[in-house]
Amino acid sequence: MRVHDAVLGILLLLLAGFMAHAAAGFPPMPGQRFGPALVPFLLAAGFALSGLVLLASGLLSGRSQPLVSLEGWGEPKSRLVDVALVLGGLVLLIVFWHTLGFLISATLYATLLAGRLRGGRYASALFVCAPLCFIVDWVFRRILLVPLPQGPLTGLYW
Amino acid sequence: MTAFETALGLVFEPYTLSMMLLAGAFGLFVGAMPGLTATMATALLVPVTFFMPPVPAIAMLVTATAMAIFAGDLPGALVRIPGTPASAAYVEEAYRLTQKGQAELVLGCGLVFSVIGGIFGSLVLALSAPVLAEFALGFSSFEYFWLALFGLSCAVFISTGRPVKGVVSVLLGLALATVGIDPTAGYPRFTFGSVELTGGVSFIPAMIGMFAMAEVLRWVTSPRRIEDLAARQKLGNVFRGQWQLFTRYRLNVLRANLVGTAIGVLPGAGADIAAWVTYALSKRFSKEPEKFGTGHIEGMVDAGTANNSALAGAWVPALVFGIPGDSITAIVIGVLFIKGMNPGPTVMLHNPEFLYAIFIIFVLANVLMLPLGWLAIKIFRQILLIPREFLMPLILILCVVGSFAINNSVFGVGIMLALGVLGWLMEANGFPIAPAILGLVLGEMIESHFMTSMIKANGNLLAFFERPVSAVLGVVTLVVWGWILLAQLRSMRRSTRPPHDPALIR
Repeated sequence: MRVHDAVLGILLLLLAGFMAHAAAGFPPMPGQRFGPALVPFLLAAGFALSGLVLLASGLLSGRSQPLVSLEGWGEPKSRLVDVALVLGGLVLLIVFWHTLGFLISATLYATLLAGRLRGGRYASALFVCAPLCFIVDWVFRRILLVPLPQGPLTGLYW
Repeated sequence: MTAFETALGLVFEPYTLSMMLLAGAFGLFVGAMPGLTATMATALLVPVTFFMPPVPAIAMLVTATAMAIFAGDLPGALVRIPGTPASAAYVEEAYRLTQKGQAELVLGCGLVFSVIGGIFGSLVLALSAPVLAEFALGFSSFEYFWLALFGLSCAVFISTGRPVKGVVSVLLGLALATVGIDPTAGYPRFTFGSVELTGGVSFIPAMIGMFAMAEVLRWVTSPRRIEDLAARQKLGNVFRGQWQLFTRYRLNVLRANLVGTAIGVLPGAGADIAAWVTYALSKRFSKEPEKFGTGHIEGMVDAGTANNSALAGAWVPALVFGIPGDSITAIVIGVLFIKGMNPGPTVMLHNPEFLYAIFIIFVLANVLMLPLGWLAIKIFRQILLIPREFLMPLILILCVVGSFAINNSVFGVGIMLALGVLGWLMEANGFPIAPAILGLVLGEMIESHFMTSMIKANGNLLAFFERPVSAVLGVVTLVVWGWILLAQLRSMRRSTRPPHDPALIR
């Protein structure tokens, strides 16, 4: 996803403004001329300068480049759905992390994603993803002792 | 028992050796899969190493990266897709040689010269690190500040694309490092009331997101096709003809080793830059420059040697100064801190056996590369057959588990997701990722040394140039920044030139 330089410049200027505004509220260090705000201020100045450079170069190059483009994506609509599935799926995974537990949520996520990427072959995706997720769960939870949540499967032993 | 003997005992334990074998197989697999990088292999291994003693943990990381850099040559030679960015410099050359029916020679060359480069880099690491560490004992906050800033400046300087985007990338990394408790006054900054953010942006989930998850997103949005030349290649004895290559190009090998290791040592530059630079040097000094790009092995000998020698070279600043030489050592530094072996000049005083263990591991990993690499070449066609549609969701699942495991908190998964999207968008818009990661890793170090120096000097900036080493480092860093500024001005002038300018029509 390519964004026009001028837009990137404006975003950086906004970020610089936000950092400077927040840093202005940091208290000074007792007995010193500088405090926790110094470095954020310097970074905000850096963002502002870089933002101005990008804005200037974007404006100089004109509108030959669209504000946002999906250049090189092949079939943009289909790819957008894929990206939405990857990101939305991860958000849902985080939301249902404790309720569904790792094994169930990871299997659902991997199956849906693999099935979609394989052109809708969800049964074969489940056939491959379920054992893979089971192995990941087993290795991390049982061998490496990472407390992955088990959700409704709590109490089952493997 | 001397420290060296203790180190030998630690490395040659069955547990460490078996972990090295496993990591070697993993590194070969990741490196051989087009689109998956050596950095990604390291990032994905980190959660596994949490639960291990220090030496096996480091052994896994070293072995996996060395193998991944070599294995990157395999898809480059057979399907024209570099397995890792470090193989990209000579992928065209390797593929054309394969088209001429010389796949055996190309893959053997990749393996043998990777081993030579890796061992040379390891020896340089073993010889230079203790000497440099002793020298660095006299460093104060001024020298450390300049050294870390020099590392960041180099990362911008060598990044491809427009310099301003490299600068923004560094600034983003530094800005992320300011989140949490400030190192001098202890004031919470940019935490938005979140308790978890007071500890700062966790380094490992950030890495996993920016490298591994961003890679998956890039794959999802790119056209998917793999040309299958691999199936038509016959692979016999890949070591045949390698000795003749070595004797014919021995000076090239020496030059590539020296340049590759030096680039690795330079903070911010790694195996991929080393490969590009040595390939260009090889062409520049070749007796047959006209053959480059048509399927000529010379450039591959140079770049294939250099990318593995740079790998060990990058550990020199990481171990001695705590400043990563490339994105892989940036991850390794995080692991070293987790293991309580704070890298820096005192590592030789406090943990000499650990330092010797790393040197031994490097040599051993490169020797192991010969049999494992040979095996990888033999089974490579099967690796390529694994459908990416299954692999990518599995990598995402591993990203999730890895980010969770660092603090056993789902907050880490959120950081991985947010920074994964940021990394993906940055790369799609020409912002290099490595400077951001270096900024994140070095941010706290730079700020604490900067603030300490400012307090010591009572705000007098000239004090940053009063000590001799500090003055030299300061001037060199400022020269690099001047260069970056000039490059940016030149790039802006080029972009405003009218389109009929003959310089643009080439």
